[in-house]
Amino acid sequence: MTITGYADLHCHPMSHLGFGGPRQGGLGFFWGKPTDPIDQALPCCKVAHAPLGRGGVVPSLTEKEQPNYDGYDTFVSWPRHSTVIHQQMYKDCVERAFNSGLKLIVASAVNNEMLADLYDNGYPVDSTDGTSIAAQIAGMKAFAAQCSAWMQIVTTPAEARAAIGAGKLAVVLAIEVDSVCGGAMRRDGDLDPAKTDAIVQKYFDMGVRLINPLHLVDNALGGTAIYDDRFNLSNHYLFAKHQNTAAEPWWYDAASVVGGGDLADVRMLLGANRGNDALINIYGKGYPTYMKSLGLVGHANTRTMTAAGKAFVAAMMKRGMLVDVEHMSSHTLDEAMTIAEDRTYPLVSSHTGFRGIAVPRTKTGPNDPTWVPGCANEGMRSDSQIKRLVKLGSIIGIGGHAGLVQELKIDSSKGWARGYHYARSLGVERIAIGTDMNGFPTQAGPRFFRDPLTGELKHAEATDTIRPLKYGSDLVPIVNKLLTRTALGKQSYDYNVNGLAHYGLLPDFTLDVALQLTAPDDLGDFFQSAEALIQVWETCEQLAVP
Amino acid sequence: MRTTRGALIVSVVSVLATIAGTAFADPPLDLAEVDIATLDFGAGALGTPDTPLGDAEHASAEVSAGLTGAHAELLGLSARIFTFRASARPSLLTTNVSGTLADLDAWMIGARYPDLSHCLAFVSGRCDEDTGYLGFGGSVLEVAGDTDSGQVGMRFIEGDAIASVTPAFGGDWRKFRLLPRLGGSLDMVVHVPEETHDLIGRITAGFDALATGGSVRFAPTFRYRPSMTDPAGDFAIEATLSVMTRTHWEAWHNRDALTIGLELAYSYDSDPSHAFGPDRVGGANNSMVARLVVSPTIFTVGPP
Repeated sequence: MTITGYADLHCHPMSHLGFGGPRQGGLGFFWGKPTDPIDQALPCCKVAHAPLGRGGVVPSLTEKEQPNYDGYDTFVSWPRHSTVIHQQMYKDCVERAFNSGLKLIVASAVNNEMLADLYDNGYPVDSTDGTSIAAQIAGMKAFAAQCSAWMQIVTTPAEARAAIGAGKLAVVLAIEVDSVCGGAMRRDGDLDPAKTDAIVQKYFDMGVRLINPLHLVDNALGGTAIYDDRFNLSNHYLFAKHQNTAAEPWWYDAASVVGGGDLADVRMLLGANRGNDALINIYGKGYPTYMKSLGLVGHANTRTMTAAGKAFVAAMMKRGMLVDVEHMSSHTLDEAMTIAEDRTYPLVSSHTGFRGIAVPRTKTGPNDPTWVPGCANEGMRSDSQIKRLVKLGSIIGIGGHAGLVQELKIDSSKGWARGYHYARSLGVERIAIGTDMNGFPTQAGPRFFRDPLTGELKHAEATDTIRPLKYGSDLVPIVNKLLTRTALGKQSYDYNVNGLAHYGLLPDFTLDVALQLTAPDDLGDFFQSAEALIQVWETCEQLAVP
Repeated sequence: MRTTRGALIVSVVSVLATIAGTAFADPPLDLAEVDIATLDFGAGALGTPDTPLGDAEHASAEVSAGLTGAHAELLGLSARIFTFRASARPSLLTTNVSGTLADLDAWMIGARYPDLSHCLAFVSGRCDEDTGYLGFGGSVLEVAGDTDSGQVGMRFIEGDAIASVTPAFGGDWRKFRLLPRLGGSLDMVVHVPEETHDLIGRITAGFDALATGGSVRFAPTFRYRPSMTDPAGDFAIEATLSVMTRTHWEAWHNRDALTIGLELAYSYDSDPSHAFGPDRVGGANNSMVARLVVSPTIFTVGPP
């Protein structure tokens, strides 16, 4: 039976258990739980996030918060579409999305040791990826058990079909951390390829079925996609923490993009985003002179997949696991696709954007400082990468944060719709969303603002002519239920002006996207994405070696 | 024989390097330092080898207390705002009070990109790691006076050009640096009982240096301050060495900085009637001080 409904290929329901988890005195870098009564799960975060509080200044450097830091029950400050360190996947929100067409989620354990260690003024905490993974996998299992009436963790595609058939949300456990093989495993040669099979087996035994071998830093499996100086600090920090006497470089081993190939359209330059200057200065280690000249085109990672990385991917494929190529450097991805092509093994690109519609960076000079938000970076897919992935039968998840694209000035669902249209033009049929909810990226913002004088909705984007959502008269796609406003505590959310503030607004988001697409670019493929992921998984399972 | 000795030296150096490599490995969280409100408690001794005048004492024990309003130590920038210290020296029957409104050890100039756009070190302004060989420093309104001598010195302003032997925006600058400096200051020494004062322009030449081993910092400084009008007859030589280690305690946060260390200072004033500073014996040419210092910070921005 073909499943109708969509899949979120990438989200982090258990982020509160990452980043060192809850500390003594109620502190926590990532604030708010998805479970428990709402007053206990999402209380005011001032104790943990105020810059003069015990948590230190890191939260305020990570996110600009409202002065009152509230949470329950007004929810004035958060959740909102621009939050990165507050819970956006409270159980009621997830359930609302599920009741409105969401059929499958990939729940990924996530972590960042540097932020965890910086938080609470460096108070010692076990922030390692291994501890974080174990806590989040256990937490997700407990979450599913608590919500067993409508949620189920699945470990095979058959279980996924059965769970969805039984009227439940299928949850695939996943991992996306910087050091999936351990903190000391930082470079080619650090990890014996023969040991990767046992590592993959360990995660498989925990119920994990999807892994990102790379996240935001290089590791013993390969090179990361370069797109943010802040993650370069993490790259350096993990060497300082785990391999203090290792030979340099501890920073990204980046090179300026020259010539053609997959990297020809990369325009992101390391060291050009002045918004990162404060963090780089506070980190205090100097910063490589990547910017040799203002005339540079773009930066990309010179590192590729290591022998251990190839063995790791092969070990995943041997077990029929879903290999998520997101965050791989271009060279690493090329190797992953080559391995997959040898056995026609479909891959997952779970939360990506497209260089073909990225914001152009055309000027150079002091008045156009070589940094343009949304400009093409290595983490986005090139056209040729997309075509190779499609040929493998892979599934592509467009990032919920992929909204800032060319000709648009506002990060909103319009950008996602543009990405969907673009992906289809490249022949992508297995196409989903990868919200990255509770992750670092912000979510799609609103398309409207309310005129303070008249109270009328006005388009935020001058070129936008698409109408707003009409609560009480529009129907939610697929389920054909009347769209109503959702609420947390005293806060009633209007997607038109709030954007994708939390997971419960996914139905509103999908309708807002649908309004912007016309045949043949309707959301038909998207609303089959749960089926598409299961089909990908079934193919993987068939190719597994018993 | 020479070969054996050479091998022995190589072995010893190798062992020491290994030990140092282990013991002095960088802590993973070694962030730029910004300390707000640092108290300063010291105990030590001050004295002079000069023949004292009359029955005055050569030396005295000393206890001191002080405050630094804010201190920032970033790549390419080392500065303090509002420092104050009062030192009681009972055997000398005097209390020395000193303070500085703003003290800029070094503010280095780098380049945002090697081919364009010069920039100054600042929290929100990053310069590239290969740059930062020149900068400037100095102080604004430095005051020091003794209760017994009735001599109060003021350095209205000092401005120095500073060079850095290594790039100030390179990762090692906060651990190892040598900063030669050359500049000048405008000083005034007030003789309170006589109700007279001398206005003196001085040239400043010297260096600041820093070497770090693990959590221990060695910071020698040297200044030669000849008068612009009488450089041979009126000059001061100042040399200091501080050996400090930085740990943490609980004040505002549970990880605020606590600095503990030893300060040594020597100064020579060719004309004691024009001498001033926190570590002078009134009327002496040579002054020496040694003190242990404990400096708890009330609020450290980030980990210590």
